[in-house]
Amino acid sequence: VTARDLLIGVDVGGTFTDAVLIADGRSFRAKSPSTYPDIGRGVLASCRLAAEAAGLELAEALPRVRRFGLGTTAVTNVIATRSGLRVGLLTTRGFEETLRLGRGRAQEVDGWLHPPPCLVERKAIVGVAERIDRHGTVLTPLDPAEVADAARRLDEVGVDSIAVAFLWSFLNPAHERQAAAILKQVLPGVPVTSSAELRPVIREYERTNLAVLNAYSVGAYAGVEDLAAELRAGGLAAPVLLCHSGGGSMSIDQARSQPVWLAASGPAAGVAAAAQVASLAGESRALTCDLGGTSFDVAHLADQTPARTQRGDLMGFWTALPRVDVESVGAGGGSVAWIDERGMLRVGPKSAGSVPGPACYGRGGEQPTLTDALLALGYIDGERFLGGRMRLDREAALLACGRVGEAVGLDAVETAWGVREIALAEMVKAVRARLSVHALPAAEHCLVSYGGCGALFAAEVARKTGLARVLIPELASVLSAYGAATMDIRRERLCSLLLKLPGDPARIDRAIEEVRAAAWRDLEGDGVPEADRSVAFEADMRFAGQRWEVAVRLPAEPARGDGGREAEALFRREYLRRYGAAATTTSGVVELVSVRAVGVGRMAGAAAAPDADRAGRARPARSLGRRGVQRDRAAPATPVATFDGALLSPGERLQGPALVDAPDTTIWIPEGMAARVDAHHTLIVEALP
Amino acid sequence: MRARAANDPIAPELLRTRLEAIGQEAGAAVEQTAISPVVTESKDYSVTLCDADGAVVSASGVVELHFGAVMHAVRSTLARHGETIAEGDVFIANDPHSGGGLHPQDIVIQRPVFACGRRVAWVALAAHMMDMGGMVPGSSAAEATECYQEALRLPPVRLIRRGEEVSDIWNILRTNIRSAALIEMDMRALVIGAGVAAGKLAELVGEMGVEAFAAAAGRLIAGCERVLRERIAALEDGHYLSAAWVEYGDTVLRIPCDLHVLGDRLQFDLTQAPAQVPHFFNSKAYIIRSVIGPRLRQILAPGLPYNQAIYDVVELATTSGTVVDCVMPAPIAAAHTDAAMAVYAAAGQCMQLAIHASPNAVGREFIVAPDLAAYGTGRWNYLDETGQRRVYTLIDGAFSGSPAGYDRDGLDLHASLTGGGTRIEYADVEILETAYPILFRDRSSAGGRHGYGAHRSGAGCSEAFRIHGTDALIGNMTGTRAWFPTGGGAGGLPGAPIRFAVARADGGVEPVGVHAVGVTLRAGDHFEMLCATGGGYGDPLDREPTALVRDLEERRLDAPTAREIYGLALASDGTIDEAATEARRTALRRERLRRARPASRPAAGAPPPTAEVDLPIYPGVVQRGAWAVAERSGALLARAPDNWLDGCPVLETPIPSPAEPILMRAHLDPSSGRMLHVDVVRPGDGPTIEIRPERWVSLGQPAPVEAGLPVDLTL
Repeated sequence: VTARDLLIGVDVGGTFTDAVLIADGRSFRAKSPSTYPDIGRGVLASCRLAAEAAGLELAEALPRVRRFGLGTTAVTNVIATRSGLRVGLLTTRGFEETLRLGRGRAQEVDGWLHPPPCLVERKAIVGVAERIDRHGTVLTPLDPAEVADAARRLDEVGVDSIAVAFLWSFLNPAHERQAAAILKQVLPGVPVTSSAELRPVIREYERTNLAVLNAYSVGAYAGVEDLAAELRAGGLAAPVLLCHSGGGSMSIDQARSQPVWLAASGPAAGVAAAAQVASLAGESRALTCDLGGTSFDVAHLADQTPARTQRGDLMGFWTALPRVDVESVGAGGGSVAWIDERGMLRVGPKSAGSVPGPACYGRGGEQPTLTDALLALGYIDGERFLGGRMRLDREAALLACGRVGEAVGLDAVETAWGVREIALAEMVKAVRARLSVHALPAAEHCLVSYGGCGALFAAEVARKTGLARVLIPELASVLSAYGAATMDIRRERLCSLLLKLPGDPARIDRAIEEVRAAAWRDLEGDGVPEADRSVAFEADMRFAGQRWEVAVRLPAEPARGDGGREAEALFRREYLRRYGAAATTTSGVVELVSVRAVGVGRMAGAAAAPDADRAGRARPARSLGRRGVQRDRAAPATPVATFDGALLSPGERLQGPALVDAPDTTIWIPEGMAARVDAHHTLIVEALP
Repeated sequence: MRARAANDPIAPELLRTRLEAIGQEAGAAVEQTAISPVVTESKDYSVTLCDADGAVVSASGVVELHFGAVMHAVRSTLARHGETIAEGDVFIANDPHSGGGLHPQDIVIQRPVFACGRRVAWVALAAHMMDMGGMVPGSSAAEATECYQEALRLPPVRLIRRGEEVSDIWNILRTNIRSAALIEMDMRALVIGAGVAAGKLAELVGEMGVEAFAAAAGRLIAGCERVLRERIAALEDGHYLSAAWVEYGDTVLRIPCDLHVLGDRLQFDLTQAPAQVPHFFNSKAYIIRSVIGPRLRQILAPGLPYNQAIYDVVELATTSGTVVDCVMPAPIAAAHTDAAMAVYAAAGQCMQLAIHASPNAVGREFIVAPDLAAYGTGRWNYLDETGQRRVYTLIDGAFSGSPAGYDRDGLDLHASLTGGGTRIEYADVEILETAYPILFRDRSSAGGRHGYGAHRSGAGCSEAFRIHGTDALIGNMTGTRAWFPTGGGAGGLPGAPIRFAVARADGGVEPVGVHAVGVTLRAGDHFEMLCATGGGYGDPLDREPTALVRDLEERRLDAPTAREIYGLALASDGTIDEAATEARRTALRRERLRRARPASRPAAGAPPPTAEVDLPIYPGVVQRGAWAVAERSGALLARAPDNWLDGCPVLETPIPSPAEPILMRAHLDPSSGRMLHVDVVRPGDGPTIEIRPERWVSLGQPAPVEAGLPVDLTL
């Protein structure tokens, strides 16, 4: 028997496939071009490189792998490029247009409003007579013959996949189950998604949209399946675990019929990895930020776990997809600076993308971007960008900035300064929104920054918003792969109740037992050994009539037979904490909307730290040089000490102002702040006392 | 940061971002703490940040009509309470006659912001309350004849004085409002939001310094005003007239709206509006301004942030004691809907007429058929299981089909086709059925009810529900456009009106008026609603046949309409017969001319020299020298300064009406029979639009330079 002591994480990105191999607490990384549509070649190539970096052949490494995590945008791409299956929808008669009308939502494009996108053609939506009410009582029974007729109609239209979504099915799924069974019988081989089975939550529009997206992306798995087969043939015995939108993973077998869980897995994996970074640094509450090419993405961690949302916009579709709650604002490295009609300098939301990209890339881009501004101001060293892999043209950046600023009387440098300030203000706004919407005390949170040139802003964002400190992981460029290698298996099961509290104790207890058992089975199905399984409970509650539920963590063993009184008390306490005493009236009735079990399969050793060798002796880091940085609007540029990130070792300290040129990013430590390198090579930036 | 001249392109942007963040943070607090679905699901609330004098500096929220009205509330509070206003005060107001917001059901919570011991700003949050007392549950009493009957009337009074709750006021509210416990939570949500906003704003002003904040806020406003003035200056000087139509029982009120463009000024003259009526849709000048401002921004400069500038450029002339500028004790519960919405639509049309006639104007690429001023709301009440009377408001009647655009069809279930406007979502059936004792039979788009045209309108919402879990529901309706439809643009036909009905358990169907009270639903009865739609754009005979086939497939159209209105001819296999369609269309146009009344002032004279450059007058009509000419046929319509509509043969078709007689009047191209413009009017009315750019009028009779209108700039 081979010792299974390796962890592998792979992230299949748009351009590169990253792999991280963790052995003996040391991490080895590799990058290889992504190969579409057959992602397997790129995955195997990057794994081979990572194994070689660790001194192993892939063939000898694979049997030793205890955990193989894969982040893939296969499902995301199918939805984004509209290349999914032809979907048919079976729904309650009288409500056939629910999906198409999209709650009266509209999206603005170029000044005109457009209806929300709809993946089902009108003629592929069939209503059948059936009705259940808000108590789950059947008012109009389902007629099996009518469902069979509907199946034949959908067959005539020519659909490849069917979603079933009836009103109130989340409360009483009997009709949906029955209809799904009939559909499978009449149309064998056509995959059927039941909205209540997929996710039994209230709000038919969101639930239907999710079921349709799932039905649409069922075919997205082919490449992943092939890859899993190849890995098994290569000796991999551990299950392939897929990163899902909730910041955890699930086994490929379990994910097969529910591809939609993967739709927002990319950002989720990054946040999950940032959670690992925070956890290694001993932080339990953190905000995370990822400054990419087109956007600045903010999320937060509670109890070392990415905060999730139960609904939201997914590439224009409003759905009930549970996922890591990531909010994006259009301020990224490629965001273009422009002058608006008022003569004001603006940044984004338009992005120069990677082609033509920022002016300084020299690929024909002429519009100044945030990256150009950072280069023009001296924050980025054009000779050492991405560890010197790419040379940036500072003259081009200055020229582009100057061209834009000219019209409003700004010179190139002042324009660049303004672009940076405005982008910073947008980032601060996004962080403030996150803190306020979730009532998070800033001083008790740190900020984990990863991705692109985010580390050039993180310290100032933290200072302006009152966050305690900033963590900048060394693994930034392969963070998603690191997340794939280390994230826990997480499986959610939910049961909607819609009960005013105190409610029927038997129903509540039964619901908790149901979701507990279901989550337990899911973990079993994912191959998690019993000893590593745990189930936690959450309850979604609100004052009767409110829009949004507040998710409250219940004790590990929720009280039984109390009709939800314990949950209600926890809710009232959390509500007061968030909104203050004036927010509640004594007469407000609390409603238990749903209970949820979160099954976690801990991967023993997953927390194995990269290079967790030694904390290192506290000592000043050695500066390699200086470069001029334009920090003020009017004053001339001043020299700032620069450091080579690759040479920093645990224990070393730096005092701002300082710049760290790391292989993947550049880190700015402003005046009045200082940084230290921890045992995991994470740079921790704090205000000086 | 170096202090810079007044035109610094960076600092005001940084301030704007900060202010928007504050609005967002306050909005988050409101949404999380409010109870009513009208606030939480439909987002009928707003957050406005004002300077020390009440000028709007930044505003957020989906109900853009609020911003100007809350500014008025803050200014009224300042006028009434002056120097007694202290840190920690929180004011409430709802009475439009004495300082409130948009209508008595909207409360405006206002909190002064202090920094360095000085009052430096205001935050004002407004939201619709499910009830504010008065003679009917829901406080929208169509039967009220005086404002005293409508709701508890609050001038600006303190809910909180120097941080201490004024329990007397809370007790008055609890005593006079139905479902007070729930509504108190909505009110408190606004108080919390105001606290969040005020705290953050005080912090910001503290950082910036009082003077620097005031200066930067002033620059934000000035920057927007400069853009608006530039855009106005690009419009051709002259008068652009339209009419607002307001259903009033069995009659319709006509409010003439005359837009005078003069340099960089826009003057709206509403002085000819009819006298106020003992009916709840009287409005106030400040409300009309609050309604016109956002529309003007949307048409002229949709990218601009909201602030005081959009109100300052609207010069409004009204006559006191009229429906658009009423005085006590006029009832006013629908002050922002019926008459105000009609004026909003008319003012928007005046603006579009001016833009179309101005070759250099911004906004020509967003021309649409006239705005839709239609809505229908049911305020339903019932006894809950504890014997308490509960009220809820169903807003689905606002999900009309949008007017068509010049190059595209309208949008289903959305009042407008271009961005901006009030963006609300309706609640899911499962949410409504959870909250209220109702059960929906269906909810969809209403096929077959479109404003027809070369581009058609969108479809409105269609739905039906019955009671479920209660003995009876009693409804009080409000709404408009039940029989007088919204007109089309550029020869497009009018839209569909809104329809309410009750289908009784015994099979009978009873029409329900949009101002009906005491509509009672019992077991087995269904309340049925069909929303209105805007008009079409362009002559229906110019619609692409392929688009008609799609309309037929989507059941937006039936075969007879396709044949008779659109002239579509299909071959026996169901495909388009191009030749037969063309022939039928030619015949239909000829038939129109045959049946039409001759032009009242047919154009006669020499054809204009062809070398002249055409100038736009109206879609399909151009100015060629001193002549107005039908663009496609070249037919002469009028010689300056005459109105080109008078040169068109006129075809009148009665519109079925349960009230006073109305008709559709098509103005035809005298040579081709193409519809150039279609009005909806009473038999004796003249044309609803008039386009009189100075360059056209002056060709005929060199007019003396007009002085500006007397303008009411007070708020």
